[in-house]
Amino acid sequence: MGSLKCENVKKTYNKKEVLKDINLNLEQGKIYGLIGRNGAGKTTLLSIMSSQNPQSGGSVTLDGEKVWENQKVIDKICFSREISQMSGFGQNSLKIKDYLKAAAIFYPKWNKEMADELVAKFELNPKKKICKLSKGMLSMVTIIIALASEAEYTFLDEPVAGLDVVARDQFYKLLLREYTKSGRTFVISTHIIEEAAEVFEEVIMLNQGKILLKENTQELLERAYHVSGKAEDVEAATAGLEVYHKEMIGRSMGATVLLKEGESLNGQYPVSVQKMTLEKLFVALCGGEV
Amino acid sequence: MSGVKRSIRYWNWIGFRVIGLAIAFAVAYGILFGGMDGSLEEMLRMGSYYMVIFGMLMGIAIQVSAAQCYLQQCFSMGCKRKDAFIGLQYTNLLIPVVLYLLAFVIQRISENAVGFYDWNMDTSKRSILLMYIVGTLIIEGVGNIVGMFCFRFGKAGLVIFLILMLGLCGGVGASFVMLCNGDSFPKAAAVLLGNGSILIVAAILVYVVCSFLQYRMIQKYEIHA
Amino acid sequence: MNEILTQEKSIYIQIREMIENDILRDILLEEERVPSTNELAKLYSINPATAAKGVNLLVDDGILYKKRGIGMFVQEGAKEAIMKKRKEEFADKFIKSLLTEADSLGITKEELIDMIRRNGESTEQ
Repeated sequence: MGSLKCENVKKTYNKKEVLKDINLNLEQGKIYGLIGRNGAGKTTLLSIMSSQNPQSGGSVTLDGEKVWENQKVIDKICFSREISQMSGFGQNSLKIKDYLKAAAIFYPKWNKEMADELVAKFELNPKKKICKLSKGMLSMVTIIIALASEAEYTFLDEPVAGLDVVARDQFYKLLLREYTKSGRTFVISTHIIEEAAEVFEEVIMLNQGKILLKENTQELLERAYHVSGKAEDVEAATAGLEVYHKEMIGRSMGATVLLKEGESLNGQYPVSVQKMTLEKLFVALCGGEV
Repeated sequence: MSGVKRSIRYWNWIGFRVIGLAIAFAVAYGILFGGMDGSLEEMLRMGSYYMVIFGMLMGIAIQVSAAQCYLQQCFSMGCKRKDAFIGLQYTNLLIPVVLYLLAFVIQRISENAVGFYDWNMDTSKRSILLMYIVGTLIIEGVGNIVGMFCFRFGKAGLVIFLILMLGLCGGVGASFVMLCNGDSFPKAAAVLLGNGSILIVAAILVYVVCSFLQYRMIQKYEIHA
Repeated sequence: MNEILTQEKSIYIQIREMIENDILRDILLEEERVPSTNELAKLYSINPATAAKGVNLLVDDGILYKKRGIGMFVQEGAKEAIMKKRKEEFADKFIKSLLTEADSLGITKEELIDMIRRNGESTEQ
């Protein structure tokens, strides 16, 4: 079973520790969701895992081989990152077809038919310049490159940014179609958590450069509960358990609990117990005060 | 296909785009400036002249645009640092060679067809070829570094580089003058500048040193969206 | 209060039910002030008009009353009123669907009563 491993990966940039001690084991053949706040380090992590930027410490290996500057490994990975519309000297005047042509040169398994099919499906004009595209169209280009690369490990950084809800729905369908056909491994970072939660087999939560959790999505949601009621009752019911994000108004309190294996809420206190959605769980774990 | 071959294919594509641009400009300049007195000879003379000039200068142009957007594109598609570096040197070779050959061919054809011999830059002359090689190597060497500076510092990179260069040249010039004082300076200069092989060696040295620095800088090149 | 809103019911109905629950659990006591619609809107990230709709249902039912210039207060006797109302709604809410489900599974009324008795005993222990 192939896997992509990060061991004690660190990244310091401008004296700031952007990634701290990342240990991750991505198994082949799954769709992973990478969620985290802006600035948590998602893009940096994906860059390092795909050998696009070097890490400051630790190692990244694919099936045991180091990833940095290793052509054999790089051939198996595609990180379709956000294309910048501005370059240092003004606008990026390359055209969509230039990007597709470059992709055809660099990705060994590039599937031109799929790329053309997707360009038509998204109604993009290949002759249009990158600097003239809307945010949604830019996202579409990165999606096309990612899917048509047919790379074993494909990473997408916020692929649905700028897409309207219908286009987002199309994307999830395309992703699943490609996944069922090829069994490729996907790692997708996103801010639109709720829609994507259904699509992720496992979810990785990154907070301030550290991995909070990596778990099967359904199993995680099964052990997350929101407990609310009278403050004393809630405290008693959740005593000794992993509790997050306690909020109080008057005498009532609401809290988020993550039960470990075998644990359950204490006693028969008159509290409301509700299921959490992935999005609400994320806010509870990574959100700050408003 | 190995990484190096892919990089070469990519830079080949980019290189020819630039060559096309240079040819277009050279033709345009040729017609514009040469056409002023309306003669075909004048246009050919101006056109081939500019082709040679562009051959020397395109080096810097491509390095700067590479650092701005082409390298971003390469690396975000999985090109290795080493392969990108090799690709850049390949482009540095491709562009001047193709442009010079083109100018050469045009001039020879015009000589036989139209009987025009009065070139202000005759590509068949050894002295012109020598100047071209030396000039190109030095300008491209400088271009390599300028490109990297522009990546690190953006547009300000050009300015920073100019300041550094002025300082460096000033220092070198001053020490040179101090070393050979009086008579020996003009003699030494004449010897150096007159001897073609010394110039070529010096130019190659400049290029190699600059490229080495470029290689070091490229290894540290980080992509940011 | 502090419960999560779901997609199952209209938001304003959930607001009303949450306040009723808090009154039943003695989280909100009689003659005490209830959070204003703006406070509720901020707490649940909803539009104040939606919160107001739920609160107004409670005023209409006589559960809350308004003290002009100060805010909304829990009416005296609200707790009993809510319990009474919920008892009346109990049949509609729970019994009817229980009977329908039992029917679709072929469970007779006698078996049902038996189940209630047995399960009732285990919770009492």
